[in-house]
Amino acid sequence: MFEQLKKDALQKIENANDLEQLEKLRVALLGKKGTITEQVKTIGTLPAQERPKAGKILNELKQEVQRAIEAKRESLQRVEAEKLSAKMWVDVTLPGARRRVGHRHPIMKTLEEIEIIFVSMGFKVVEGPEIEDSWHNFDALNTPEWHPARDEHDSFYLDDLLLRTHTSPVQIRTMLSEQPPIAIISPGRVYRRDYDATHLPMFTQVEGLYVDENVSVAHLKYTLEKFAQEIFGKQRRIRLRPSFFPFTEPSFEVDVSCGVCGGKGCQACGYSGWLEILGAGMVHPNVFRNVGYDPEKWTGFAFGMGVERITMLKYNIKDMRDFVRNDKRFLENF
Amino acid sequence: MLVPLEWLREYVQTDWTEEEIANRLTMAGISVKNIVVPAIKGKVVCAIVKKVQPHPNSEKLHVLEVFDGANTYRTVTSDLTVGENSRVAIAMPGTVLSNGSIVEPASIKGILSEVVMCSLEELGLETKSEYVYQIEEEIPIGTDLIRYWKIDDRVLEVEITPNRPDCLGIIGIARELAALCGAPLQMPEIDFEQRNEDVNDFLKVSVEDLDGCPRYCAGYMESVKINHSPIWLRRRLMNAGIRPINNVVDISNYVMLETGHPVHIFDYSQITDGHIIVRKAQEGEQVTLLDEKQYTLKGIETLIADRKKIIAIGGIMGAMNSGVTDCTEKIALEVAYFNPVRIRKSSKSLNIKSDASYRFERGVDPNDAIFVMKRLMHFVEKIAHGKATKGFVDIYPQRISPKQVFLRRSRLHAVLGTTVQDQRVKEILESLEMNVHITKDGWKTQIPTFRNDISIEEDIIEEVGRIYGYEKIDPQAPKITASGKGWSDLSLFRKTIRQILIGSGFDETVNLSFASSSVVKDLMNIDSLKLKNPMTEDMDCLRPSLIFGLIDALSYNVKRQIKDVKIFEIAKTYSLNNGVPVEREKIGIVMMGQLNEEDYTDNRSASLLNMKGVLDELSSHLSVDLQVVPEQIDWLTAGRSGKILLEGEEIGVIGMLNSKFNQVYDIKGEIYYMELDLERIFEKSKICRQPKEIPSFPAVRRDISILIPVGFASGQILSFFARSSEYVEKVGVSDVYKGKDLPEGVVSVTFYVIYRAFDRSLTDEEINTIFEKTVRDIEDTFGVKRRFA
Ligand SMILES: [Zn+2]
Repeated sequence: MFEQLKKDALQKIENANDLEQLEKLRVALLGKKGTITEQVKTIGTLPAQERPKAGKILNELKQEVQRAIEAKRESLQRVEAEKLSAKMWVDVTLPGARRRVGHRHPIMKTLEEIEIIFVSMGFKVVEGPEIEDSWHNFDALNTPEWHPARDEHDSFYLDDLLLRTHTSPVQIRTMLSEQPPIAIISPGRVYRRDYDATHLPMFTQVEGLYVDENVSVAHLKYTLEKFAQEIFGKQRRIRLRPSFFPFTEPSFEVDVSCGVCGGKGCQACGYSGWLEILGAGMVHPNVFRNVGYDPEKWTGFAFGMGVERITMLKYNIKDMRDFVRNDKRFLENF
Repeated sequence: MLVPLEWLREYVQTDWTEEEIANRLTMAGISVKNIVVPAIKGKVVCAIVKKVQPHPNSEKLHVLEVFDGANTYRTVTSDLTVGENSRVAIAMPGTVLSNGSIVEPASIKGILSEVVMCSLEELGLETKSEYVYQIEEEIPIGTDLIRYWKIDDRVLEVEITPNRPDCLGIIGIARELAALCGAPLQMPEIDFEQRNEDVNDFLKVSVEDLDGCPRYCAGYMESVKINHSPIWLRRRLMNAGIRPINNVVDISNYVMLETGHPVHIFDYSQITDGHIIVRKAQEGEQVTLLDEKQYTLKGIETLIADRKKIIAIGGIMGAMNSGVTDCTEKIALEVAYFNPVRIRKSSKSLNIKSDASYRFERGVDPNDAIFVMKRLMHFVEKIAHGKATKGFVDIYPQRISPKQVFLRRSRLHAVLGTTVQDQRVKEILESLEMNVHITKDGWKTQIPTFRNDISIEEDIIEEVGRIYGYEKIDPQAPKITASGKGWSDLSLFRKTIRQILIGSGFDETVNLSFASSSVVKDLMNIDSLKLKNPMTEDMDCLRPSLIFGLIDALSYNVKRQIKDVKIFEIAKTYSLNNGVPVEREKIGIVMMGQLNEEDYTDNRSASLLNMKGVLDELSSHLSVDLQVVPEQIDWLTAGRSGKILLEGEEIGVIGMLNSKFNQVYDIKGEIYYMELDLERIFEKSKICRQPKEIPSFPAVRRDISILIPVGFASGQILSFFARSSEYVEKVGVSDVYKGKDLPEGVVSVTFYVIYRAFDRSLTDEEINTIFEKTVRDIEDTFGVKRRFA
């Protein structure tokens, strides 16, 4: 009875070319005034005994047509999506058109880290000149001209001035212009006549100074252990090994426990379990006198480290000269 | 300093292992860098030569049979002086000798040599030997000689800080060890026979230079027999790094190593009238010392002389003319105390560093002279058969007395940040040979004169601390009050610039501050700030520009096939201003090769305008008006250089390096460079500016292409536009066109101008009028023409 109608409808659906055509077709068949809808409306005019059968057939027809439209819609959508994506296609597996960002120099990277650690403890970063006079570089620091300790500071001279051999002169300058309490670190370039795999004639130092009432070795120990743990890792320990610097008394070499063996001893630490990282000590009373501080009232600690050495330990760099070669492949690691 | 362990243990009985000794000394400040293990290993025994026969195939060799008490071995030797019944040290196969060679049975011209007869060199007892060592001591055949002579004794390599000259002698180190382990220090024997003749009948000493030589002690001995030293003495010297010479010289070295007090022995027969005169040198005097070199004196040295000649530079080195020789029979022995500063000055000016000067300039004990003299005579008597007269000459008019230092209990505890028991403090100080009295407030101490490093309370605090052990001090957080922000504004400003440049693709570099003054002169034609004592010629001055350094980094990379380089450095440059050295912090930027090497969609190369783009970006970020003005600069390429102005003041340069740089540094390609004065920009920068109000009325844009001839500065047109109307918001360039349709030497530059009013919408008509007038004015003013008239 409705066979022809069904055949035509399915044929038209099959032939639909795009989604728009299909939608028009749906309205023509199943819309309020669609062919099939109109047919359903005629059921009421049929004899009573034929109504259920006709109703059932028409209902099945309606459902079948609906299914056909859905199926066709999906297939058309797929086709359209494919067309669209071919038009938009970018091969995302090609490398990115990269804008290369530069790299921080490893020394500067470590220096920034050191500064942040001490600044967060309350220290202030202070800078000073590289060309110094020997009073600020030596005499004020309790190192008179004929002291054998000057052997370790083989300096470059410019007539009556010199290139500072450490950043301690900045401490002197600060103490001359400010009153305690003082907590400063002074980073900067320093110069000594030495050039090999473990020495550069120019290197970077950070020196620190804390002056207040009742400053003790215990405070120095806490501060430097905190520093070592921040820069090398929480598990690290430090030890104070007695040493000598003219400007501190008592003086120490500060060692950090070896990160490779944890202190048991290995090749990296020369089988001692410890690595030397900095020098430190309690400020010598003569240094205080030289800047007009009363050594009875004020005590303090000072420390100094080579940023190159810290960087070498941190990143396991073997040759200090790499820092001034600036090989791009080296710099790109930082 | 090298400290043979067996020697050290002679003065302290301890059951500590060598590792423990090394560790404890290190933690007390006597830094042991290494424990040296001698190379010798295996079996060397005392044997007797039973039979000597010629070698059948060589006249230069002998074949010997040697007997070690159990077996007889055959050995072949080229030392034809070894005879029957000679006792020799034979090394068994597998033994490693001191020079590293391994003993193996070997056929020598057809005869199998089973063992090696050792020379002193092979035993590590001499630096160079020519003969087999024939044993002189009464040693039983079969004795294990490595053990008997202790030649495998380990040696501590110790680093002594300059404040501890007392530890430049083995007794000094033993004293430290004794204090650490609680054992007594056993001082060595000093006994010897004194004959009845008075020393003053043989020796006379006049000290004229008391400042240089506060104490001069002399002794006299005769009947001395010069020979080589016994094995034990040679071994100790060799292990301590001193070459044995003869018994008397060896004894003087030995006593110096033992006590830390350098001594000198003269051939008495060379001293005119037996009269020693200690005097200050005169400038220009000449002397030949034991190193066989001639020196001209500066007049600051303390001389040991006689009436006719100089016989030593006191505390530094003896003269050739009076040294001990193989024929010496009578000797004069010197134990003196020289002024440390005078010794250091003399040693520096003569450029002589001797074991003696090293110790004297740090300061030896003035008060151990008699002990040292006795120790010296003890050995000369026992080893070299010398005979001493009665007494010594001792010129010591102003005695140097021990210092008294009071240590307050409160100060000790405050500085260490911990409490040390009173009794323990006393114990520690006494173990270091101080005289100690406990009082109500602390400890009254008398410091022995060998500790010239101790003179104030803090010095004693250090002594207590290092023996007590710093590991026993608990860390304690200091109460630091932060003052202001952590960084100065300049320092934060520098950080911002670094971030901008790194973000723009530049790698940060650190370069040495040195340059070669001749290269600087050649490339820039300026005189640089020269060092008085440079390390090398190519680092003889401080760089006047950061390009020296940056270009080294560039060249280092280019030589490694890395040709796309964008680098910068922020550092000081140096110059002389009216004779005064001046340092200024600069920013140096270098660009070469591909502009964006990692971006394959962009194949542009670095150019001057890209470098200027960096400058404009800095201007914008740092809120400064950095202008470039064309300027011919010698070391930059003609037509591609300019100076950078900030509010009219020159603060930098920009350009392409001239080809001389390419030649000198062997780099091919265009190198762009810019240098800016960081401090000047900082002073003018308004990083904390207020943001501009965001406009709410629309803008009107006009574009115009103008034909610009070569050499014309388009910047003039930009500024003309900028000043042309109150409504100009922005002016810029949208295109630069060079085409065949344009005349030679002319480019078309398209300028754009954005107009905007803050309070209303501008009309096209009013802007057309303004724009047209401005373009005409530009044509009239600069004589240029628009491209599409
Ligand atoms: Zn380790």
